[in-house]
Amino acid sequence: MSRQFVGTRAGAIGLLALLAGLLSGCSDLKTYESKEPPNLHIVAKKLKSGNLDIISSFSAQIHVGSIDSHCQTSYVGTVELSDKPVDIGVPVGRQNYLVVEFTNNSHWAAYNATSATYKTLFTPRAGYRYDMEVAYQDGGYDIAIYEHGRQGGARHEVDHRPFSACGKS
Amino acid sequence: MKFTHLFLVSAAIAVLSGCGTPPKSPDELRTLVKADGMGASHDEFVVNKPFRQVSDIMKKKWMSCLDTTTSIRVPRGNGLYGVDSYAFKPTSSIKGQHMELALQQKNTTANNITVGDPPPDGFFIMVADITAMNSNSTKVSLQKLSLGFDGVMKRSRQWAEGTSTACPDLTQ
Repeated sequence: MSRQFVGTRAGAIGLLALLAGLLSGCSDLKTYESKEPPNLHIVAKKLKSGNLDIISSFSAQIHVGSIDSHCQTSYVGTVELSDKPVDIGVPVGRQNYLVVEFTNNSHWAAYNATSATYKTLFTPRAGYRYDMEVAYQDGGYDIAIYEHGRQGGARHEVDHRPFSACGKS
Repeated sequence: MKFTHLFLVSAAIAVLSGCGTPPKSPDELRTLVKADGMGASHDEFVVNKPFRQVSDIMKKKWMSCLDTTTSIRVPRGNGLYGVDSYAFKPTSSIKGQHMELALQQKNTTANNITVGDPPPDGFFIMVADITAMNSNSTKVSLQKLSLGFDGVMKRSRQWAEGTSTACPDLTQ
């Protein structure tokens, strides 16, 4: 699959197309396959819908896109989040686009399946490890990416970067 | 919540069909909130922190949490479903000791036609004004003109007060 967006507006439209496909049951999502050694440790916690489980189910995913030097984005794959941590390899030394998506699926057939997204540029550095923490509870979510020092030690939070910052230092 | 969505969609259609004039700028939004337009809500409070501290965290959270998209699957009748999609765009501007944060909402549903000649990024649904009062206190004014989005109002207050860093789920 090849999805290419240029700029923020087109990028948003492309992402919406992705979501629309997902919600309509015509999703062409694919599992993200790391081509690099794992450098991003993802922990999802407190994933609750806020409703009873018999009413709805809740899921979270991270869509990974690659970005070229002209800020064109291509969808690479999707990581399903669960209670178990997952490690993936994200290409170092270049910009990637991470989109976190939350989906609430009602078991009652009517109007259901809602989702929200959180989007950030992510440029991991060679030789560094990163933690991504995702939490959802009671109608709110927390997402943060942390970078560990080369020799371990304290980690620090990586700034969120919107797509509009693509190409800017 | 799902019934709420239908209600909100219906209400939005009512607003856009001439029962109200959606704001095309932050100033229009402030004026309509003052006139107590449909969906208007205003929360004003003082935080005992320096302007720079409050404005920095508010800007950071608006830009990271509200730059988002939502999609809601809704029944179209006869067993068919459709997906209503929206894109949100936060912006910020600062003049001296005053920061303005604004949030626009654009209906990006396929084949959707939004009446009222909206701006390219959608109508304005919320504005936050952050103003220095003195060296250690800052006034925050949150105004919205849209049904729903109480979560954004609530989280914005928490961000300013430093009681939470969580983002609101705009589908709730």
